[in-house]
Formats: sequence, C-alpha cells, structure tokens
Amino acid sequence: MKSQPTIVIAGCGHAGIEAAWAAANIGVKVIIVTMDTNAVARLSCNPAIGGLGKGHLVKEIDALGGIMGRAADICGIQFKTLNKSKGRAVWSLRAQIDKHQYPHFVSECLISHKNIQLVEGEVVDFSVDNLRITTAILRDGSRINTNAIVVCSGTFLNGIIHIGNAQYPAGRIGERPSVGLTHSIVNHGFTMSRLKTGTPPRLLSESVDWDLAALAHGDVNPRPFSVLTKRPFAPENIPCYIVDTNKAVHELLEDNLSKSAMYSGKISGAGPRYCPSIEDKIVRFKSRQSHQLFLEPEWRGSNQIYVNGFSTSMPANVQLNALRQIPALRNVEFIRPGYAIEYDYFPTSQLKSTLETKRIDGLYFAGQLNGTSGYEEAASQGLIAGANAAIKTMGGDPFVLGRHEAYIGVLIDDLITKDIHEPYRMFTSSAEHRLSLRSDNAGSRLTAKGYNAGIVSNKQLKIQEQFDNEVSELKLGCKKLKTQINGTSLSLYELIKRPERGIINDVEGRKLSGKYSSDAIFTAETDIKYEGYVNIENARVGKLKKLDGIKIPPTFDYYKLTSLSSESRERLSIIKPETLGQASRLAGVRPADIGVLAVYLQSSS
Amino acid sequence: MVPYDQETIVALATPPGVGALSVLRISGESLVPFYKQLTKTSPKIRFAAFCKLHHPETGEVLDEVVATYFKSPKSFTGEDMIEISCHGGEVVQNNIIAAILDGGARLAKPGEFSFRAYMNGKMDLLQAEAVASLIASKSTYSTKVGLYHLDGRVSRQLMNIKSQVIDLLAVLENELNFSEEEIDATSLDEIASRIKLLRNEVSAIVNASSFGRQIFSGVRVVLFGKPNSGKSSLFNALLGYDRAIVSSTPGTTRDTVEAWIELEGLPVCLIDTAGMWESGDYLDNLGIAKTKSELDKADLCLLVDEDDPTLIQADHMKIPVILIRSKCDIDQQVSQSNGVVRVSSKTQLGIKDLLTHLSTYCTKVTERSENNSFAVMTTRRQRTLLGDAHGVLSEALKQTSENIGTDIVASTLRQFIVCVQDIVGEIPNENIMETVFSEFCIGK
Repeated sequence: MKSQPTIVIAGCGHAGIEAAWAAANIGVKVIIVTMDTNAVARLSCNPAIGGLGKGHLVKEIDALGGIMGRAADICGIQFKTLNKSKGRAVWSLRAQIDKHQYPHFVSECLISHKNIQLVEGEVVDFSVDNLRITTAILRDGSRINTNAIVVCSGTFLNGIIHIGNAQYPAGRIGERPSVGLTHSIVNHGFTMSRLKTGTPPRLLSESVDWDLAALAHGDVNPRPFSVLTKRPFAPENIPCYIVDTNKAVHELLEDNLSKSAMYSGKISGAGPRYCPSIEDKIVRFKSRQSHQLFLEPEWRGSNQIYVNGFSTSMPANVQLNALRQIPALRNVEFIRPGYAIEYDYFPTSQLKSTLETKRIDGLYFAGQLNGTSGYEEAASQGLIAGANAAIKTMGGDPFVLGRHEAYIGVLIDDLITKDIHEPYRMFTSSAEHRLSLRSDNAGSRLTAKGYNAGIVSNKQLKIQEQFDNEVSELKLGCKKLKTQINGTSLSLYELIKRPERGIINDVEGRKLSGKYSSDAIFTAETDIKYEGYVNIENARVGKLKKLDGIKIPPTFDYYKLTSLSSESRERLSIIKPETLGQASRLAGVRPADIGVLAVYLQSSS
Repeated sequence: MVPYDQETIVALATPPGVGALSVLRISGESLVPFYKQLTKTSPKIRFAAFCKLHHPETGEVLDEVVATYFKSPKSFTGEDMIEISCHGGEVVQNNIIAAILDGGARLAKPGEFSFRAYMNGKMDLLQAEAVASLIASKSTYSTKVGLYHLDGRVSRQLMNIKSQVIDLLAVLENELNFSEEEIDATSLDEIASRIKLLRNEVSAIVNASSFGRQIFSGVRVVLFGKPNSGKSSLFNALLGYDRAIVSSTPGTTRDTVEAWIELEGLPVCLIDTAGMWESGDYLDNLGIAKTKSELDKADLCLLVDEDDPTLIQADHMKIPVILIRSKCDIDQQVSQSNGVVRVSSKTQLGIKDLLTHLSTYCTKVTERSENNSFAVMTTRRQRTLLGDAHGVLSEALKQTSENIGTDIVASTLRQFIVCVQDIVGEIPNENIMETVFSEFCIGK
C-alpha cells in the first residue's frame, strides 16, 4: 500500500518552519523532528525581523505564502522603514519583535496544519538506498520512513559556546548541541567546515538609567510585511533607546583583547564581517571615537534588554565593566553575558539550486548550516528546500527562483556558486536586478508563481490580483491625465518620473487615486519612476542572463576542453555548475574561459 | 562558429606568390610524431633546425627548409606548432602543403590560428581584433597602434578605468548595504567629482578613437566643386606627385573615384566627386546623392573653384574645408586672397603647398592619438561600445545632480562596467566572436 508521501524536517527554527509550512501546503505529510518542542521559532539573537536586504526577503517569503511576514506583523512592537534617503528600491522594513509572542504564534500555525506533525527527538543518521534517502534515524533508535529529509539544524551541529576563556558544548545558550548527524553526513562523502557567530549580552532593565539614553521610535504609519495583514495597520510603537560607546569603553576592551575567544584563537570558525563583534569593530575602525548601541526590549514589558551592536565573546566581567563606562549603564546588571557560538556548516557548492544535495537524492540543507546568518536568510532557504522536497516526491518541476525574480533567487545562487568564508548575509548589492526587486512589488513578482507551485493559498492569490489590478489601473489613469507644467502640457505619468513628484502631489492625481489603497498608489508611482531605469538594467543584465539559459550536462567532461585554464577546469569539475550562468559566477573561473565554454556549448548543441 | 575540433591545421603564413622564402604554419594537439615524420629528426623546442622536408607517407624529399617546433602552451595558438620556412614559389609551397594534408592535417579556415589562440587564453578579444587590424593595416602608423593592442596595453588601460569605477561603486554599495544608523554617507558632490575625473579619462579615449578610425580606415578627403572646376585634374596631380599610391578604384556610382596615398604614416583616401550643381537627368541625381553621402563620411573637404572659392556657400559643411583656387596657370593676375590655396594642375603650382596642408592635418591626427597614449579603439564595435560607456558616465553625473536615489546611480555605474567588459570580450557573445574572427585571412 502506498501511503501519503512523507518528508522529515530536522529542526524547527526559522528554516524548518518555512520548509514544513511550504511542504505541508503542497500536500505531503510533514514530520518535524525537533530536540525540544518548547523551543520552536526562537529568535536566538536580536529581537527584530527584517532590515536592509532582509526586509526584502521577508516580503518575498510572504509573497510565497510563508509564515514569517504574518508572524512579524502580529508580534511586531515597532516598525521602521530603513534607507528612506537612498531610493525606493533599497527601502527596507524592520520590525522589533516580541520574542515571547512570536514562537507562540508560529507554533499555533504549525500545530493547526493538518499535514504537520511535531515530534520531539533528534535526527542523528539516515539510510539511503541507491543514493536516495529512505529513512531518518533518531537518537532513541526509532526510524521514520521518508522520501526526503530537510536538515535545518541552525547552530546546533557540534555547537560550542565561548564566553571568554570558558567554553562548553551547546546548540544555543541553555540547550544541548546535536551530535552525530554531521558524522553521518560526512560519512557519505560531504565536506564540512566550521563557522562562528555571536550574540550580545542581555541587560536587566531596572539597572539601566533610562533618562540618560536617547529615544528611538519607529515610523508613525508603517506598512506591514504581509499582504494578508488587515488594513489599516496600526501596530504598537514601543521605543528603543540609543547610547554611545566612548573612549573608556574602547580602552577597556582593547586592554582585554587577548581574553576574547575570537582574538585568542580559541575559535577556528570564521566570523561574520558584516555583523562584527564590538572587539572587532574597535580593532577595525580604530579612528572612530564612538559606536552607537541600541537598547531593545525583547518583548512587551520586557525586563530583558538586548544590546544591539555589542556582540562579543569577551569574558563576562570584561563585558560588564566595559558597558559600565557608559553613563546610562553605570550600574547595569546582566541577565546573561554575550557569547560566541561555533558550529558545523557544509560548503554549499555541494547543493543544487533546489537546495537538494548533489550527492544524495532527497537530502536537503537549509539555513545556518549552509553558512548563512540571520533568521530571514534561513527562512528563505527553508521555504525553497521544503517546497522542492515536497514537489519532488509528488513528481513536479523544481521550484527555482532566478536572480532576476527574487532576492531569494540571488541568495541561493550566491550560496551555490560563491565561496563562503564567513556567514552570508543578504545585501541589496548582491542583486544585479536591484531596481526591479523592490520590497513593495514582491507579491506582483512572486505570488502567482508560488500559487502554481502549490505553496500560496487561493485567498492570497485573489488579494494579490486585486492589488495588481489597482496598480495597472492607476498607471493607465496617469497616462491619460494631462497636466500643465510651466506652460507645457504633459501626462501625469511623465511628470511623476521627475524627482520629488508623486500621484498625490497633483490635484488631478489626487482625484484619480481616491479609491485606491495607499499600497497600490505607492507601487504604481514607484513603477512609473523606475520604469526607464529598470529597462536599462534589464538590457544590461540581459546580456549575461542568456548564459543562464545555456545548460551544462551534469556529465560534461571539462578535462576534454584542454583550452580551459587548469584552475578553471578543476573548479568546474568539482562544482559541476548546472548552467553556463552559474559557471560564470563561480569564484576562481576566468571570464576568458567562460567565453571558450560558451562557444563550445553553443556550437556542439 | 564550428566547435574547436583540435584537428591539426596548416596554412601559408606569408602572402601567396613568388618570394625568396615562404613560411608555413602547422598547429595541433601533439605534433612531435608529425615533426619526426616530416624531418626524420627529433624536435628541439624553439630551435630553428635546418633540415630536409620529407613527404610523411612516401618519404620523398620535397625541399630543404628551416623547421621550428613550439611546444604547447608556449606558442602563438597555445597548441603545439611547427613553423616551416621553405623556398618561395608556388610549386614548392603547394607540394609541401599537399604533403602535410596527406599526413592528416587539414587547411586552416580564415582566422583559425587566432581563434585557437583566443580559445587557449593566449590573447583577449582586443588583441585578436588587433591582429585583424594589423593584417588589414594600410599604413605604417596603423601598424604601430595595432601593435599596442597586441601587447594588451589598451586592455590594461580600460581595465584600470573599470577598476576605478568598481572602487567608486564599492563606496555607494556600502552605503546602500548599511542603514543611516550604521554608517555615514559620502556626499554626492564627492561622488560627482570622482565620476567627472573618470569621464575625462574615457573622453580622452573617445576623442583619440575618432582618430582611431582615421588611423585604421584612413583619412577621407573629398574633392568638391562645380563641374569642370578642375577637380579631376587636381586629383590626378595629387596622385601623380605622391608616388606612394596604394590603390585606385572607380566608385560604385559612375561619378566618384577613390585613390589611396600615404601621408605622415596615415592612409589617406582621395575621393573625386561629381559635384553638387549638376542637375537634370536621373543619373546626375544619383551622382549628387553619392556626393552627399561621401561628404557625410569625409574628414576633410577640398573645395575647388576656378574663380573664387570663397563665394561658394560651404556653411553646411560639418568638416574642415580647404579652399582651392584652381587653374591658376590660366589667369596669373588674380590677387592672392587669404586662406585660399592657389594651384595649377598643369604647372604643378601650389600642389606641394596643398600636400603640406594635408600632411599637417594628418600630423594632428597622429599627435592627438599619441597624446592619448595610444588607447585607441580600432574597430567600429569597440568605438560604439566606448561611446556608450561615455554616455553612461554622463548620465550618472546628471543623476548625482538631481535628487535621484543612490540605488539608481549605482545601477548606472554597473552599466558602465558591463560596457567595458563587453569591449574586452569578458562577456561571451557568439556574434562578436564570429565577426571578429571571420574578418581574418587564412593563416592568421
């Protein structure tokens, strides 16, 4: 008897959640195996979701029917659009999150889904038959027959926490690490490496002199992440606070550099350059007299305060003394000190663009074990891995997003083609199609595609279609409206293209837009403003995009092409890119060799 | 483009016909056995060996030659190569080529040696185009500029500009990647001034490259004037005076004739036209159309009139004009007027003066390109792309002055980088490959 196809998700962090959710919506049976069913959807580091680049990812996850955007809207306690001075394509939403409410809301979503089963346990091994996954094996010896396993282990694989000179095995503070699964994976021929990341100390709220800290509010009328969130959106606007480090703080840290786990060489893994520890910042930006620190409440009415900007692996007493050099923190007490964590990751050139491993059918990797940093990056990968694991068991076409379609596409393509030496963070600069991949048009870009893949609900598709109709009607309306500027007549459409002009700055435009939502007005206006630039961008990237259409057979023998440089030949043979486009983005492959390969592939086909 | 088949290819590298020596080239994957078959000796790498050349099958001695073996990858194509200097004369050449074909090689197609060199990373696209330019080179000076391309100097200069733009882009990208809370922004004024400097560098190349066209395709000089004003006589007088005639071909329309001379190292194309005043029948109108199009393409106009050339309306000309009073042998009494060259094709009066004027113009062309350290775009493909690149920087500059987001400025700068990558062939494009290599002749 053939039962409902099953996939196993190992881990229930942000990657595991989206993987489970997407797969369950497609219709397979999903078994989430997590070491502690009370520790799902934790925000282990900062109490915020979104931010530059990351906000785009959240919008895309939402456009594809994911959970993160909705959860952030419901559990958000302050919303702010960043980068407002730098052009609408790079505007990005960030929300401060109630860390208690978030896991609660997400658990409810998962538990109430008829296809999802949450199991407490630890995947430590798996069986394969003919290089295809058949069984997940748990620590207690139980076995689950499955078509696929999506590994979303975060920082848990052989995790080691460092606080100054002290170190001990842990997956997260207060939680056991996962030991065994790495061994099984490596036994199947995978290569493994180590990375590290860190988190700042948590302060006791009562010990902070709040009068000496500056207030930092969110936006007054923010837009939510999710299209499913009801309008008008009127979230809370609970303030954060800003304090500055000073010379005394820097000196104290500098004097104790040798005690930092990272600087003393105790950690072998590479740390994130873009989310550097405070000791890192002081060494690297020596000329700066001061760094801003954000004091963020971790939940509503929280007595636990997160010190954004002060990630560190110094001994606890050094951290405390350093912070006490800041007037507002003169009498500060810790709830717990900052720490660094070191964990296993698997270099991502071992993955296909579906996040399935090239080596074993039905084995998928998503999240931090792929060398990324951040909840949003993890969730994006989870969604793609989960969707593809389910689609493959059902016999459908792979669900892959191109670099021109989504930041998620850029993220995954970067992972599988670039060498990752430090945790990968999503940046808008990684997207060559940045002007068309805006936050506000994520749904227009992706929702229909997600619906066809089975991961978006009918309800969401209808909302999106309504929105898209509004935007096209508005744009058409602007084309028809004539207006006078300095004696010359031109359409509102042309006028809007000028800087500082908008639909509602114009009397006629105001009348036209009266019946439309402010979201639709914003998107229509931005579409019009960016149209010309997007066309140029497309022409530019189009030259390169053709290469993505040229497939390289997986059996292609690069050694046959003696004209390739030996370095390129070696890289290409190991990584086996799926398309010429991927090959052209591989680190260590010369452009001239891509030219040779292009001529060869095109002429021999 | 055929796939790179790695067959052994052969071609004559020197011009066909009779000469004291001819050079044959063979390129292929592994040529040591073939060398042994041909010479009955073992090859020494990069050693010019005097030896007898044998038919690879019959063993018959064909000629006494100097054979040099180049081992892959240190050869022009990057493959194993054999260069054979044999005695000149078609019979000898043909016998040797036939024997090599019998030994399993095939004749090379046009550009195939350079194509293989490109495929093996021995040259970039600019260098490949330089080879084509050199072969087609009509003059001393164009050869010199072509050689600068061949040693990669022009690629390096472009790549240097590209890397400066990348540095600037890094500043902008960094600011886009981090929020206002995290890092301080660079002022748009500073960004604008850096773009301006870069645009000046590109401008210099663009300017030099308008001369690049003249250097490689020749300076086009049109003779223009009323019928019977003495244009054709002057045309012949100029050609007759300067013995360095390159060619003389009738125009495709009945009324223009072209001829080449070399002045100051530059090829100069003299074009005799029908003039603009003929009217009436259909054929004459055709001639006028042809004249107009010649003027559009021209760099310099010789305005010829037997009475007073200053009276002829030449305001519409977008190019420099030299005014010429012709037939000065007929009426010696006419007073000199400023800026007019007086000539007589019959007595050679003033012809030398006129050639001096033309030479001065040519010297300016070469000087201007030399001031720009030879970064000259030699082909239309390169010039068009560089023009685009220049336009892109102007656009970026305009954007910094308007209140447009830095996301858009950054996108514009990225476009510049793609233009440069395109010029040097970093972006694969089969059309470019085909046009570049098909312009070659066989043996290169």
